[in-house]
Order: sequence, then C-alpha cells, then structure tokens
Amino acid sequence: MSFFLGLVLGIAFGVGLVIAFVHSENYRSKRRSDLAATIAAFARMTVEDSRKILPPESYPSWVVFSQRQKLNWLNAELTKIWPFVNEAASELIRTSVEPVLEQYRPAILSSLKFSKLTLGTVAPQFTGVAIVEDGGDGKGITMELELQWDGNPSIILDIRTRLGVALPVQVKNIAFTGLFRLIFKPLVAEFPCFGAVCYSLREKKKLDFTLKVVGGDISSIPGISDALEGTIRDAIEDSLMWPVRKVVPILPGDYSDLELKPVGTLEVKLVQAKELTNKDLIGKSDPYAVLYVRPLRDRMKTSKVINNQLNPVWNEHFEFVVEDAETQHIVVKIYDDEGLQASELIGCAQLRLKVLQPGKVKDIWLNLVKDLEIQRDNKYRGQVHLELLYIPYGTEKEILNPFANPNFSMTSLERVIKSADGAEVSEIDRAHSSRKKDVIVRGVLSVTVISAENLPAMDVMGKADPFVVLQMKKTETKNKTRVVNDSLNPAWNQTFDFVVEDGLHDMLTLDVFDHDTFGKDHMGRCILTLTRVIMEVVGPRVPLHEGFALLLAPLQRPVRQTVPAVVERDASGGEVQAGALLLPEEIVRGREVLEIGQLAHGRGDHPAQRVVGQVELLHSAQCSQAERYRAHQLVEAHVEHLDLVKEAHLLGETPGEVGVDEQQLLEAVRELPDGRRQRPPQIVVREDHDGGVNGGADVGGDDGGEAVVVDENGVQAPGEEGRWEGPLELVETEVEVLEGGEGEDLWREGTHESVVAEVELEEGGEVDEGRGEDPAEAVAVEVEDGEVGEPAEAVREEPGDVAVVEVDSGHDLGGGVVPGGGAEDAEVVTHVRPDPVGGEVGWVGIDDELPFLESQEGFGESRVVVMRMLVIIIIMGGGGFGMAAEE
Amino acid sequence: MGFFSSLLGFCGFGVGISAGLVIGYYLFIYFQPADVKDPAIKPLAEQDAETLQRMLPEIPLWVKNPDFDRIDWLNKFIELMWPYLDKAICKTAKEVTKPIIAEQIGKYKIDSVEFETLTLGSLPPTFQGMKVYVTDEKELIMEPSLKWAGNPNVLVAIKAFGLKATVQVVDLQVFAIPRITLKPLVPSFPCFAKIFVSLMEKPHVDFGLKLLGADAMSIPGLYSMVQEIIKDQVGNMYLWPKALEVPIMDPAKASRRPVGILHVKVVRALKLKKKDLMGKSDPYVKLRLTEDKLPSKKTTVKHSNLNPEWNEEFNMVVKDPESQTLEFSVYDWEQVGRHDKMGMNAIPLKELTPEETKTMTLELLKTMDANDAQNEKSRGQLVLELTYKPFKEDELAKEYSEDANAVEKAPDGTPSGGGLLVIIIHEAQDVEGKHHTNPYVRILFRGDERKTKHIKKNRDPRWEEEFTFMLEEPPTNDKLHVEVVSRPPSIGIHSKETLGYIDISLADVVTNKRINEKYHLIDSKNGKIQIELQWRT
Repeated sequence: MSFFLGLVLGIAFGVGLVIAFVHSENYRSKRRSDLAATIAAFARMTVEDSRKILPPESYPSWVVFSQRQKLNWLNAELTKIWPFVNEAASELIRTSVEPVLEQYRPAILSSLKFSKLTLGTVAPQFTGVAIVEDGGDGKGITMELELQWDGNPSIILDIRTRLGVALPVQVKNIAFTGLFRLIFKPLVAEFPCFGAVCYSLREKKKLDFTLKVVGGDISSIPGISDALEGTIRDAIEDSLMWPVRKVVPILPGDYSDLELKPVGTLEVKLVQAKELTNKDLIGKSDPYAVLYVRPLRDRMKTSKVINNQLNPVWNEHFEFVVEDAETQHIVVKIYDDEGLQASELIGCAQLRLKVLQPGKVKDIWLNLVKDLEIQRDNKYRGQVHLELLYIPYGTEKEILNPFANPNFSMTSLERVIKSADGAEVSEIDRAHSSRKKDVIVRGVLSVTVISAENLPAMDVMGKADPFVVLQMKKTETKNKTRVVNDSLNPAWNQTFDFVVEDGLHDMLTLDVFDHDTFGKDHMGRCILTLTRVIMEVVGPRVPLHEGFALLLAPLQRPVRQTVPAVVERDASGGEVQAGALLLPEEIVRGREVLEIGQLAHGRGDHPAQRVVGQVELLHSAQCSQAERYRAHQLVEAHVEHLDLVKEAHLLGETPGEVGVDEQQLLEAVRELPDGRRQRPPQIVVREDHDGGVNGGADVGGDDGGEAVVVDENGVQAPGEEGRWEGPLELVETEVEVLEGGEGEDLWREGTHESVVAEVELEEGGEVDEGRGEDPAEAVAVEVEDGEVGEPAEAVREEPGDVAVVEVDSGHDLGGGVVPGGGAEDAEVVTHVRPDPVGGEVGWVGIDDELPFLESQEGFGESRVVVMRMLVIIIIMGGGGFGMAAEE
Repeated sequence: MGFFSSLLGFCGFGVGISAGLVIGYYLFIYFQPADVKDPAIKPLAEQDAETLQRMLPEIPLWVKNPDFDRIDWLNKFIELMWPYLDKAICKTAKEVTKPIIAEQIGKYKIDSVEFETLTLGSLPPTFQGMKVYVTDEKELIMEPSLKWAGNPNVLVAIKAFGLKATVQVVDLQVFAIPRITLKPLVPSFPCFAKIFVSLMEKPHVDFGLKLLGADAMSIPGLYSMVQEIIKDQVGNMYLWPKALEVPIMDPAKASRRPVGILHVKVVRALKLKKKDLMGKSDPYVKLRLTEDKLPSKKTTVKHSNLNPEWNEEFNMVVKDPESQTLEFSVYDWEQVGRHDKMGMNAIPLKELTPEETKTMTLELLKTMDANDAQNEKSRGQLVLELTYKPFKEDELAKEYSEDANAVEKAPDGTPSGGGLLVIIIHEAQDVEGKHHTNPYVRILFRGDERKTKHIKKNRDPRWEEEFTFMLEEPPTNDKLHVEVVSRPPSIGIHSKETLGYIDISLADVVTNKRINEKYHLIDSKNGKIQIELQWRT
C-alpha cells in the first residue's frame, strides 16, 4: 500500500520536477529570444524609435539619424594609416591608371606616363555611407560611399607631344567630392560571400585640380593644357562615372553580366547646323562636328568639314553603342577647323538618351552652349539639327527602323512575292541582319508644292513674285515651280518627281525665291530629310530652316481631334519650351493633359529640371506660368482663385534659383503686378498697387540694371511695351479692356527673355500679337471672345521660340494659329476651331490605295522599296509655302 | 512493519520518481518539437512603454556614449549578407570538423557523429558602436561593440552501440567588446602586418544546450558555473593584455628590406643586328631590377662588335625574390644622339634557385609583349650567369616580430652604466613660417648638433629620422633642445626662420626607457612635434 502511495507520490514528484525543469527551460529560452529580438531591434533603430525610447529632455545631441551615416572612426584611422597607404599605393596606382589614361589620351600627345606619384599628406575623408535598398532582389548589396578629398598629391606626368617636345606636368591640389557606389554581387555561400565587387562613381560633385609645368608655364604650348585637362577629366569621368563600372572579381567565376554591356544602338543623323558663331577673322568658320556617347577615342565620330559656312548641312549618319539609356547622353561638339592649328570650339550640345522613345525617330534642334556643365553664358551660338533613333537590342524586329529596316513600306504585292518565295525571305533577312548598312532605299519621291502663306513682301511695289526651287541634296536634281505673280499667299499645286537613289541619306531642300526681272531674292528655305516620309510616322510639324513651321500629319489619321492643351516636358539644349500641339497618340509620358480653358505650363527644358505647375480654377484671361530657362531650376506654382487681372508668376531665371510665389486674391482691378528682373541672378516678384485709373504698366530694362515704368494715358492708348535688351530679363505686362483697333505688342530682343501678355475682351478686327524675335523667347498671348474673321496669332520667328495662344469662342474663321518656326518650338493651343479650314491645317499621310506607284527591282545588296505617300504641307508664319510630297 | 512500509514507500517513491521523470520527459520534452523558432522582431516604435523600459539596458553604446560611432550601415550590410555568410560558415565548420571527427570516433567506438542541423539562424551579429583610439604609435586601435544574440541551431547526432543521442546548441548569445589592434603599420598593402584581438572585459556568453532534448543549462547552478568556466577560459586566453595574434603579412617583407643578393654576370651576346649605317653596332647592356629605385647598371661599350664578350659582374640587392624581375636591354651606343635599343628581355627571380648559378641564353625581343609580332624577328641572344644568394636568417637585420614598443638592447661596446640615447623625429604638425615653410629639425644635445633633411613646402612634415648618441652615464640632468627650422628657398631674399622649438628633459627617458610623445612647440602658433626617445642600456 505504502509502496503504491510512494509510487504515486514519486511519479507526481518526478513529473512535477520535469514540469518545473521544462518551465525553467522555457523561461530561459524566452529570455534569450527576447534579448535576441531586442538586440536585433536596436540594430535597426530609426528616428522614431529613438524618440520613443529616449525622453526629449535627455535626448543625446550626438544621436543623429542622417541619410548617410558618418564614418568618423574610419576617417580617424585613415588619417593615421595614410602615410603608409601613400607609399604602398603609389606603385599600384601607377600600374593601374596608366593604361586608362592611355585610352583617353588626346591625339596631340604621343605619350602620357607618370614619372612621380605621391598621394600627399591629406587623407581622403569618407563623409557618409549608406546601404541602398534597391528593391531587394537579394542578388547583391549596393553601398554608397561619399568621399571627399582635398588632397595635396603631387603627380608628375611625363608628357610627350607629337611635336617631340617632352615636358613634365605636375597635377596638384586635387579637390574631389563624389559619391561612389559599390555593388557586392552575386552573393554566394562561400567566403567572403560575394563573387565580385563593382565600383562606380555614382555622382561627381566636384573635381578640380591644378596643372603646372615643372619649370615653366603650361600655356607656352597652346592647346596642351586644355587637352590634358580634358584627358584627365574624361579618364576619370568616363572610366568611372556611372553606369560605367569596374568589376573586381573576388571569387573565380564569370562576372561578365556585371560589366557594362551595350544595350542598344543609337542612330544619329547629323542633319545641319545654323547660325553658328563665326570664329574666323577672314571669311566664315569651317565647321565640323564631333559626336560621342562616351568620350573614348575610338568611339568618337567626326563629320566632314564644311568650309566657310555658318549654316552647314552635313547630312551624315552615325551609329553609337549605348550602354545605359537612362543616364547616358549624346554629345555634339562643333568645332571650327583651323587647319594646322588646334580646332576651335564653336559650341556643344547634349541630349539625354532618356528622352528618346525606343524605336521612334526624334527630330530635334539643339542649342549650342559653350560648356556642357557650366551653363553660365547665354550667348546664342547657333543650333544643330539632329535626327535620333534609339534601338534597344532585342527589339529591332518590332521597331520600324527607317535607317535599317527595308521592310517597312512593302506593298502588299511585294509581301505576296516574298512570302511565296520563303528562301528569298530568309536570305533577305540574313542580308539585313548582317549588312544592314548596305540597305539602300530607292524609289521615286513625288512632291506636290501646294501653296505658301504669309510670305514676306519683298518687292518695293506690291508684294512678291514667289517661286519654289526644290533640290535633292545627293543627286543634285533641281526643279522649279512656276512664278506666281504678286502674291504673298501663292498657290502652285505643282507636282515633281525625283528619283531617289538613297532615301535614307538624301534630303530635300526647298527654297522660296522672289522672282525679279533682274535676278531673284531669297525668301526662305526649309530642309527635309526623307526619314519621316519613309517611315510613315510623321509628327505634327517638321522644322524648317528659317523660321517656318511645317505642319505634317499622317493622312490616315482622323483630321479632327479634340486637341487638349498639353504641357510637354522636353529636354533639349536649354531652351524655353512650352506645350505642344499634340495628337492624342503622342501624349506620352512626361506630358500632362490639362483641361480645356486652363492654361498651365510646366516646363523643363534641360535635364535635371523639374517643373511643377498646378493651376486651379483659372477664370478667363488668367494665366499662370512657371517657366524655367536653365537647368537646375525648380519652380512650383500654385495659383488659386485668380480673378481678373491677377496673375501669379513664378520665375527662376538663373541656375540654382528657386522661386516660389503664391499670390492670392488681389483686390483692386487696376492694380497691376509687375515682376521685373534687372540683373541676371535676381528674382523679383512685385506688386504694384498705385497704377491709378489710367495706369498701365510699362516695364523695361534698357540696359543691365535699369528698369523703367511709364504711366500710360488711359484706356484710349493702351499700347504698352515691355522691352528687354539684356539677357535673362523678364517682362510681364498686362493690359486690359482693349478696344477696337488697339493692339499691343510685346517685344523681346535678347535671348532668354520671356514675355507674357494678356489681352482681354478683344473686339472685332483686333489682333494681338506677341512676338519674340530672338531665340529662346517665350510669348504667351491669350485672346478671348474673338469674333468672326479675327485671327489671333502668336508668331515666332526663330527657333526656340514658344508661343502660347488661347482663343475662346472662336467662330467660323476665328481660330488660333500657332506656328512655331523652329524645331524647338512648342505651342499650346486650346479651343482650336471645330473644323479645319482649307489650307490652314495640313498633314502628311500615306495612303496605300493611291494608285500611281510602281516598284522597281533592286540590285546587289540594295533593295528597292516602293513608297506611297501623300504629303501635304502647310506653312504659316512670317512667310512660308505649302507643298505636297508623294513618294 | 512501519519500517517496512516506509521502506516500501521509499522504494515506491524512488521507482515513482524514475517513472515520473521518464513519463514527464516523454510528455514534455521528447515529443516537443526540437526546432528553433525565429524570434519575431518588432520595430521599437511599436512596443509599449513597459517593454521599452525593459529593453532600455540594451540600448546601443553609440546612443549612450558620444565616443562610439554608429555603424548601423555595417549591421545592414551583415544582415543582407547573413544568409550567405551563415551557409559559408556552416560549410567551413563542417569541413573543418569532419577529419577531426573521423579521427576521434575510431578511438571511442562511436559509429558516427554528424550534424543533423547546422545553421547560425536568421539573426546576424550586430555592432552597437565603434570606437577608435588615436595614439602616437604606428598602430590602429578600434573597439567595436559586438552583440550577437542569435538563434543558431546546431544539432549533433551521435550514434554508438546502436543508440542515438543528440546534443543541441541553441540560442547562442555572445556580447563582447574586442579591441582590435592593427600593427605595425607598413608601407605595403594592406598596410598592416598583424591583427591583435583582445577582450577588454569578460564576455557575456549564454546558450541553450540540449542533451536528449532537454536544456541542460536550465539545471539550476549549472548555467552560472558553465558561464564562469567559459569566461575564465576565454579570459585567460584573450583578456587584455593577452591577445589573439593573426599575422597578415611578413613585416620584414612588407618593409622591403633586402633579403638577398643577385650576382649577375653578363657573359656575351650573340648575333646582334647591325644598327649603325657605317660599321657595326656598339653594344652595351643595361640591367635593372623591377620595383627598384636604384639606377640601372651598365656594362662597358664594345665598339663595332656584333658578338661582344663582356664577362662583367654585377651585384644587385633583392628585396622580394617572388615578385621582382631582372630586366635587361641591349643598346647600341652612339657618339651623338639617342642610343638605339637593340633588344630586351626579363627574368623573373622566382625562376632562380637560391645559391645555384644558372647560365641562361636568352633571345632578345623588341618588346615584352608576348603577342607582339615584331618579336618574331631574331635580334640576337644574350648569355648571362645568374646566382641568387639569399641572406642567412641571422644576417637579416633586426627581427621585426619583436614588439615595436620594446626597447632594443644597446649594442656591444656600450660602456657599463652608460647607454645609447636614441632620438627618433617622427613628424610635426601645423608648423608655418612667415615667408617659407621648408622645415627641418635641428637637435642640440650637449653641444652636439644634428639635422634632419628638410621637406619642401610642407606644414605637416614627416621625417622619420633616427639619431643616436653614445653616452657614458645616464643623461638624468640633461636637456635636449629640438628646433624646427625652415630653410629658405635657394633663390630669394629671406633668411632661415625658426618655426618653433622645445626643450625636453631627459630624466623621464632614463626611467621609462622609452617615450613617444607629441610636444607643443614654443614660439609657434599650433605647431606640434612628435619625438620618440629611447634609452638603451
């Protein structure tokens, strides 16, 4: 009995013991896992955490959660170890950097070697480090390291020039600030757990250095200094700058996927340039262009030299390999060939490849600047015209490549023939893939010159007697239309046929002349590449050479579209741009559609610009604008409930400026806000409250620093002017209650000026004009209640101009016409009249059904393509003409 | 009877306890899952105030102390890397233990020992701050605060006599502040020769050890005992000033001391090509070791000879036989103008066997590029005799392995009672002259003057120069006058300038044997000078 009692007690005790043991075990285990969780949580502590844990009164001042963590400890150690690193690294740097320098060596030097290299006594400082969370693909770790080095290294370069002169050049006082990106990739389960390290310079903030010839002055040999500085910069930037990266393999393996790989080709057609600055004392410059995506010697392309010409037409085709379309640029530099001397730079321009839509031809005029990085001067140096096509690899087949793909406009007949003979197809395909450059597009181009409008009067008496000369550039075949006597809006309706041997590389030039008894006067010109005609993809406008706009639209598209006001962000060389008249299918990323009646501009003309324009509840005649002229500007405009005559402007006109302005509910009707800029880097937002009853505002700056305000004499003479003569000025004028016969003009005469004019309540017969006569001007005109027969125009005569026209309630003929004279022009038009009026709207179309085309057989590698298209072109503006082309 | 029943009762109790333990074991331990759960980590902001209060003692050091730097980026880095590190470490651990196990199981008649699971868990070690110390010595000292509260799971299954037993280690936690010292610093990558790791405090170690599924560490008393043992063991081995030493590179090699001598005998050349228009070539040979700053050596010129015999011998100092290469080029001597290169070649020194003379006949090449087509043309041959003689160990100058802080013995011949006073001028900071700053140091000791080299245009010059004075008796009452002087530029009107001076009493040196300190300079704005003094007896 007692045994069983003992047994039961024993079991109970034993089980109890185990339970107690397990309990203690669980308790300990829980404590450990709690501690583990605590430690882990502290390791990823954030600001909120620290604020919660630490009471604000005892919050330690050194606890700072910055975006990039400080590396003071590493800097302290680095300073200490630097003398030893200096000694150890010198040889290493010499052997690793010399080949890189060699790659970027300019032609003028025959050798470039280090003869002495010390890194100096000042250690670089790491100013921050961060681990980048790149979506967490788990394949690699990206680290960003900010480095700053104001070092005093002494690097002596041994330089030999082509002329046989050897000179030692010292590079010293290097100041460098940059952001390095280290990518540890791929992660593997083997020490040290990453296969390779890629490093790249993510962002270069600053790079300065001094060059000095040891025992002499570097300027004693002209051109060397620039060439050398350029080489060093190129070598550093292009060999390291993201997306270029260096891969250091740690574990053996194939890391070729980490290397920078070509991702596509960029086809560039260098068409022409115009109004280049003359660099020669005698005669004109002899321009040639150098184009590159990366400044490697073997990847820079040079065009022909066109002698003695400020408006050269090259019509040359280049191909570039693109490694990263997101960050790379195409750079065009135009030089003046000086024979034996070093060429002189006329200007350069660049375009981000990001703005190119793969497979779509971009036709662009770029303004030339002096320096791509420092955009300090606004001098107009001319423009260069490019046609660009970016084709990512792997998509060639899907994309219609007018430069390479001969299959684009095959007739149905041809298709039938091809499919019947399968072998031939594959052969052609192979021929295509292997020798796409051999493809020659041949055919017959049929051009119909229909009419021109608003040609300038050339004759003393009467108007002009215009005729058009058509010329194919390559074959030099010429044709002339008949002369239409005494007309500024001539209609020719003549058709010409040209046999085109090489459609991809040929161009059509159109010159309008005034026929005089003795000789002829040139009235204008435009140049058309055939790319668009061949491609069948035609934008709304084609740039003409001297300020004409050419409206082209594909025929098969519906003519009437509700055209919304569109704000286009377009990256081009620093121009002012506004929205564009866009067909719906062209409204793409980066463009915002605004509602009719509202007018808003958000413009970014240059990479790195950002514009946000937000406009609410604008009433008629109100206008808000945010304009950007230069890179790095940021403007945000927000305007609410504006009433008549009230405006809000936000302007930033020099790089680095930001202007934010908000103006609400201005009260008195007659108060006029003026905003003036007197000196370039200023921002002025001004409200003027004492305009008085008859007050107008005239804002002018005649010379740098001056401003003039003139009171007007009431409603009867409301003409007003705002004139700017210096760069970077801005004028805004506002005029109300214009009556019959009154007009107002806004002129701008310098570059980069901006004019905003607002006109209300126009009555019959009134015309408003905002003119910009120089490039980069912006004009905004708004017209309301236009009646029959009243046109409103905003006219731009130079490329780069922007016109904004708004016409309300236009009746039959009342319309808004917005020509843009140059490639860079952009217009915003709202309320375009409901029906196109004959001759005023034009388009380009291709119609397979048109019967009159024939096909030809090709020979050799070239192929004959039959193109059928009807091109109707209407030109309006200060002068122009229309034509129809058919090929 | 009563005794018998109570005896029975005790027996019953004893059996009952065993049975109870067995039942309890099977109920509560054996059938419980053995895997380790990942602790759920909530952001601190989501915790309630009470929990936070409890967590507060674990607040990272960088938050507590301003002299600890935050290195959460490193935590992030390790966290991202951890899954891979975990696998790599476990793989290595398995590979390392495998031969040891294989050797041991034979002895103890165990059938097999294997890891059933081996993972370090999902929680990586974290660093809660990093502190660095700046000293005047050639060393880098850093103290990371390491906390690893992980959830590793190591399950070892032992099979013997048909039975299987498991030992499981879970939830290992190690908190420690190691002091990592990198020294000595050497002028060759990675710029330090050794890593010393020592612990500043006894580390905190905690873990769960499950024998047959039960956590043995939960037995009262056992945990603290084990922890003490571990702490003491680790403490005995690595607690400061004891340290774990990890050699990275041979400091002797790093400092690029000569390790041997290369005897080169240029015997003759054969079938050289004619370079001169008139007559034959006038050849001579240039020899050079790579990574050597010494000027190259030249043979005499043999005029008008295409098969010259030189038989000239040269000795060259070798610093690293593994990487250095002997380069030689044959030139054609010219009276006027540049000497033409007739050909070249190179011999890596590692191809030579020490102490063995090797006669080599080498083709002359145009360039050292192996793929260069121009090398196919015959340019003649060169015959060399090469002998590499490494220094004997005892010939090697002083051993570096000895602690840099230790003061060397004075050389033989030092008078008894006297010794050797060594003054090492390391560097100066922020010295600035009015007109010029080309500083050098002038030392005055007992009327004896010594000077360092001057360093051009440098406000933070480094001299690293050593001066010795042999003394009869300790300089207890002497003073050392050290003066930083700027030498004027060779062209110019300015005379030399004194940038600052300092008088150092030598009594301390005699007692301490060695002092390495920075002194503020007198008559200088911010100038400091670092001087090391040694008294060797």
